[in-house]
Amino acid sequence: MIKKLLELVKYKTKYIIPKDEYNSLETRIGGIISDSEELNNIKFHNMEFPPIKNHEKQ
Amino acid sequence: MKNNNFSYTSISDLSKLIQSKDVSPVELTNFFIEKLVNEGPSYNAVAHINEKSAMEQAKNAEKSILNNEYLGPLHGIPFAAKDLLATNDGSPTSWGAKPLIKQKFDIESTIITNLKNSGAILSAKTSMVEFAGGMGYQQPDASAFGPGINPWNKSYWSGGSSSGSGSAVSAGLIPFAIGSETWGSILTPAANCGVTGYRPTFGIVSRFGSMVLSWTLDKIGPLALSAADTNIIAQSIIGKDSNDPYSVKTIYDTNKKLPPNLKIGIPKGIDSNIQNEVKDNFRISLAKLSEKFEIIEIELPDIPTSAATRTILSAEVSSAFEEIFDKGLQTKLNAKETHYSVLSTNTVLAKDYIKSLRIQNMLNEKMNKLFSEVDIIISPVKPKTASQIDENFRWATRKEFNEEHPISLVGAIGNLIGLPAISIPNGFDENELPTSIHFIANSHQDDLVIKIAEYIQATTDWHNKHPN
Repeated sequence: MIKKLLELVKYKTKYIIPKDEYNSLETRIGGIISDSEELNNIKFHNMEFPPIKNHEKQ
Repeated sequence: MKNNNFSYTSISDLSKLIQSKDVSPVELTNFFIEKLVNEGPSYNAVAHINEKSAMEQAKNAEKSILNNEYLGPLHGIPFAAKDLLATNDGSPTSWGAKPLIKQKFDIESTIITNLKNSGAILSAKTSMVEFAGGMGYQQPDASAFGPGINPWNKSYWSGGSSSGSGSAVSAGLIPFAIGSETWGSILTPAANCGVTGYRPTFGIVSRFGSMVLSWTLDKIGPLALSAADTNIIAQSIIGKDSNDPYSVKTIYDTNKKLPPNLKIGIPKGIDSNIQNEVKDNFRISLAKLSEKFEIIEIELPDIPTSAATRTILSAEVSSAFEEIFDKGLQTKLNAKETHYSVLSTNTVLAKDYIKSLRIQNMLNEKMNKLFSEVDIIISPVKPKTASQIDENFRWATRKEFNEEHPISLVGAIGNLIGLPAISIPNGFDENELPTSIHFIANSHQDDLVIKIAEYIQATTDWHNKHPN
């Protein structure tokens, strides 16, 4: 999955990403995927916790 | 009373000198501008100084005061502002970034306008980590102006991203400076540099004119010499602003009394596996508080707060800096490790971003419940004191480790739902670097966090200790 997302980043970026930067990019993509998996551990019912932003809760 | 050395003089003492006309705002501004010009570079604290504009403001202040048109305790007091706050005095607003070193705006940030309306004198823009750290830096030399140098020990980092604001106040170069915090950027330099840093409730201080790192997380607040000074500054900067769509009203009581039955929550495990001096000084502070207030052990909510905060931050960075990334300008930044790796922010799923906002809502509910049991939460600001200038560090928002210390979780909670917090020094380590603690309260209890800090500072002396 990380490699596929790297390809997505390369596709969306208007300039060339040097090959020696792939490692650090993949590391951070890995972090984002890891967070995604952690977020996936929590499930909400359809009607629970709408995405209210901070200032809207006042 | 004539005093030619105004460094480390409190705002209220400076204001007494000004109000009694013993000192002129012109003399005071000259003094601090000289300090900033002569000593600022040794801390990499200063981004830009517009001496002409500062002296004009000072002369106007002098004229008003001589006419007995005194505006209040900030009248004639010099201050500095983090270089992400737009000014329209002809100085650049560079966002700490080499590619934008000459960037200028024709608007003035509301917080600067508010402070000027209170009579304070904008004297300099302080240096900062490039783009307020949003690119994911991992070492201190991540600024167009060089790494922030800690006035307590120049081999150590001032912290970021409000590096210059922390250094300048700590080194006595300015009475107070404005910083910003998305995730740690006021409290960390305040802690590293041994000054008082205040992060307001989200939305109560206008962000109009400020660079955006994250619409959901950004807050703007001061670094100053004490909580008493912070109380004075808060009165000027807090207020609803129609120019800022995220701005909200609040009630701030400058004379807030601490309730006698105040309950202080201490998160379970908060001082385990941290630097010994940080732990020892934290326990001393706790013992002091327990003489008067009840200390209760609490459990922080067990939900993926940090993952949610990182997800929101990454997604919003990718949007806020889209133009920068499209042009490849981030490849010209100092922190090479961020040049291309930051493009990873483009891979955050929309579904995860929305889930994170729902978690934010859930966390609000859980923390409201927790704050019905305690009034304030206390924690060390960081597990250890300042890192060395040439030392890499783990960026809080990169998930490269599985374990999460409760101190980090407190930071994530406070920033995700925009809780008010204040950081104050509470001792030193063996390298004479400051240790610090911070208090967090529920939203709109800003007066409470400032008052508890004032209470501690009324009976301790750490905030009166200064480098050199």
